[in-house]
Amino acid sequence: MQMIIDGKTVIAEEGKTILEAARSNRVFIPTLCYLEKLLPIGSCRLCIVEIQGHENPVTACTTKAFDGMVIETNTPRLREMRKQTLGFILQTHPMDCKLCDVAGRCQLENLVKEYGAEPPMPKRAHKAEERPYSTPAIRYRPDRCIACSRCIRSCREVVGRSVLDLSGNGIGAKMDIVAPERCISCGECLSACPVGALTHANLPDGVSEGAKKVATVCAYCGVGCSFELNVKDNKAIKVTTNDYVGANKGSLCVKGRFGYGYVNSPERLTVPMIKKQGVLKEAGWEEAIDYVASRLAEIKGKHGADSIAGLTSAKCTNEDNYVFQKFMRAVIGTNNIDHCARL
Amino acid sequence: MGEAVYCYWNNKRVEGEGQLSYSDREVAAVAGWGGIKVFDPEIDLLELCHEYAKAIQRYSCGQCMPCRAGTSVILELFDKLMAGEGGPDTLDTIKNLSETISKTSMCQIGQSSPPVFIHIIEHFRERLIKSIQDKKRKDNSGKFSSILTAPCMQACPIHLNIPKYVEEIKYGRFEKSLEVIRERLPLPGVLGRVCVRPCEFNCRRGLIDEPVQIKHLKRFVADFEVERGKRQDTACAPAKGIKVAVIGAGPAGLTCAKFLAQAGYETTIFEMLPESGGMAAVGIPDYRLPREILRREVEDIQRLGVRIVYNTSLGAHFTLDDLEGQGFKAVFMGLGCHCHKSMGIEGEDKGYYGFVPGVYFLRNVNLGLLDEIPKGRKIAVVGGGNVAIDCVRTASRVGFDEAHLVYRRSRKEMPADAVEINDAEAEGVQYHFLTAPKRIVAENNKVVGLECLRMELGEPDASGRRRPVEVPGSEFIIAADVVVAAIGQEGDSGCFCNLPGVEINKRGTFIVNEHFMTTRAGVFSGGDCVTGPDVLIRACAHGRLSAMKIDKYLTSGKLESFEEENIEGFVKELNVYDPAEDLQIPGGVKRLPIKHEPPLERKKDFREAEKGYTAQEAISEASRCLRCYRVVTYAYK
Repeated sequence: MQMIIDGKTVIAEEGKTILEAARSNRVFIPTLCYLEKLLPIGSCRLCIVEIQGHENPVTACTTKAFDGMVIETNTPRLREMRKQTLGFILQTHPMDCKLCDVAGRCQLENLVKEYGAEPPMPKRAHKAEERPYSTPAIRYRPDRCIACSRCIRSCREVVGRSVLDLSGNGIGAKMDIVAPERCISCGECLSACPVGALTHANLPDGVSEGAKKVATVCAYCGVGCSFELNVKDNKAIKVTTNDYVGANKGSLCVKGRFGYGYVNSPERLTVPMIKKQGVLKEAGWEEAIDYVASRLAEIKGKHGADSIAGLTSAKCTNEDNYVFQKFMRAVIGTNNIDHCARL
Repeated sequence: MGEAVYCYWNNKRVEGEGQLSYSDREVAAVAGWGGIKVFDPEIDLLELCHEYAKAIQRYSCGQCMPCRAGTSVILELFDKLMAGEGGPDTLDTIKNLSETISKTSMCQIGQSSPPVFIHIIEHFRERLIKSIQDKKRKDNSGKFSSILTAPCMQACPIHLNIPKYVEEIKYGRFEKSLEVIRERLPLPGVLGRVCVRPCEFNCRRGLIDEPVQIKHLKRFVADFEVERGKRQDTACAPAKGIKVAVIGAGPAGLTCAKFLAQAGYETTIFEMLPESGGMAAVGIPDYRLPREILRREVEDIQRLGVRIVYNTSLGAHFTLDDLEGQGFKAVFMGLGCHCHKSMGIEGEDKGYYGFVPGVYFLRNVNLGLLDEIPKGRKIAVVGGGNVAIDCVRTASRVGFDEAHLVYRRSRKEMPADAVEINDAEAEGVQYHFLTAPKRIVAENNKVVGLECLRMELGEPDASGRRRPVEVPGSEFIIAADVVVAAIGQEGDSGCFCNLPGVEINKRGTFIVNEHFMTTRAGVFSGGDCVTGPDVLIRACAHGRLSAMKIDKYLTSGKLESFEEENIEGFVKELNVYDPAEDLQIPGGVKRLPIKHEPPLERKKDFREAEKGYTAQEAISEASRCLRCYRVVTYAYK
């Protein structure tokens, strides 16, 4: 299907929305409420485009593209409208970016800068606000909420929990926690928030600035979710996700999203230890491996191979696990092999 | 009748237009999507704007940025003007904001409401400035009221909040959607299947491609509950200890009983048949409305404490006086129109075996009394309405091999639902258009055929449809073992005429006042027995309003119009749905078609012919809704 976007003839797949058609052709249309994994609702009104033959702009995320459409995405009229719409958001959204954990990565901040938007009326003195959330892992600041409903829809459409909903009307409409008991602390809402209304509860403001993102795989279970460990001063400070990487497509469970504390735990084993006279003592690798090999041989000789069982971990790689079961079967000679990833 | 002081509505500026009024209330001012109408020089224009701005904020759902925040900025600006701050240049800011908001908002609240300010500022700027400069302001805000309407809501006789329940489906909150429907209608599964859906004919989406499948969405949420085996609990007011009788467990009676029970009345329904549902049970065949759907919704009403007494008919088993004697303080009669109209042709009154009126044919089939219907191989049904279609489609399901439908006008003029006409055709029904019955042909007192005449269309008649005219000498005979007359129904005159104190009009229906009370105090009536044969949803609407009237009557002894009735008239005059509107947005997303059982399979039995939506389909169809809510602010004199 062929259409003209901003004067360029482009090809797009049948049945796509204008936004999808534009993005697949590298035409950028600003959005705030849109997330690819959610059903589009067109509420932020920033992805408005003009279609030849129709006077009223339409949202690109909810309008189907058709063969032969002539679309303008960046006319002065559209830019002016977007600027005013951003201005409306700024009427209540505090631009306290210096204090905000998402500063620099905030989609609203970036758009406000790009469009030079300003609130239409002088703002009232701003009062920072914090409200208890459905999980202690997340901090909710309603004053920063722009009611894009991405958190609400993520919770409903991706996780199927429907913990959140929009309540109130007009300017008083805010995201509300309507069924906290259904929350499983997965943090899907947190990763959906385009601004700093939902942040990691254990992170003081501004800490994540300058953190390095390291792509890795979750070490908890066999699913193998991908995420980014945010590392600063050689410490894991939080977990973020990328919707386009891995089988989990940006979704995680509570352990994956918030259970990264073990990485820097001082209680973690870093050297092998052998119990001597009832006390664990540090040992070298050579010594430890020799000790294990001799004890295993001794036990196998005395009680037979089936008296030994191997329990491996989902935190190990596939290759490690393969080698381990091979070791149990071929070297020890038993089928007693299992793993811990029975969550 | 007063003179309009000033008025700007739908691009038309009028000074001196007639009064808007309904019931006994005279409207002083209206502000809405089309502009304003002011009929009272005392109305403070700035205050009207201020009240309208407040109403927009109140009804704004808060989802989209321009409407949520933009209209609150407008409200703040009006707040300031009301407080004497800011001058005429504020108006330019408001106008500018209104233009953006109306072009960028998500739904019609944000799209259609701010233009009111543009119209006022453009056309009545001087008046508004005078109003701003007049610092002596009385607080009249209590005078103003606001409502939310929509083209579909306005078209619906019971005014269901359609945009709301469709949106709940869009967001996957199916139970909430059902709750919204049940606020006014206790029979969502029934109406979700058989409603004639006036809403869909007033759906603005239809102006860019096709109307939203509102009826099927209603069915979907009702079925979703059934599939999950859940039931919603409705809160009832504390028991009042007052007995109210409802006669007839049809749509009007059931709806009335539900709302009476909810208001705390001890409600008993007396039903002449062994089954509830009235025409929904015995007039509509099971392949359109499976009985278990109806029964389940009746059970829901019974769960509120409503008692149903079957096989008990007014006149034969009890009288209105009996009810009074038994301590019933009020009575609602929803008796329906269960008698047939005669065709006035030769042979109709001869008592031939094989001739049967449509309502009796359907009733016997629906009650499982198959022995009562005449047997044969070929059937000819006369009529062009939904009952005729129901008869002719039912025929093949009870063993007739050949089904004919005889209608004196053409297909275009058939009052039956176009969908039904097509479905019947797919099942092999043979249509004889422009054909009028002349005589029932019988041998040995048994029907053998229907003699018909060819017709042609002449001049339009009172109904606007072209009048069929006989073609002389065109007689022919359709061979048939059974002839069914389905040309209309009327009330049971034998029963209606013998109710002391209750008067009927020339058409044989009960005379009621605007509060649904008959000429006998305490006896109310609604549905077909008041309107003549009409659609199901209107009967439900009557039932609901009657219950509210009965409550009012029994608690205060008075009957008066409710606000929702008062506004009905003038909101209708404002024409919420404009079929000529050019939306200036692209369409092209057609309604999701309904799946059917294969015609040749389904005509063998009474399985439901249409299939419901899946959750995915329902969400996708609901997403087509344009949410055409309109805010109206008004004041009475």
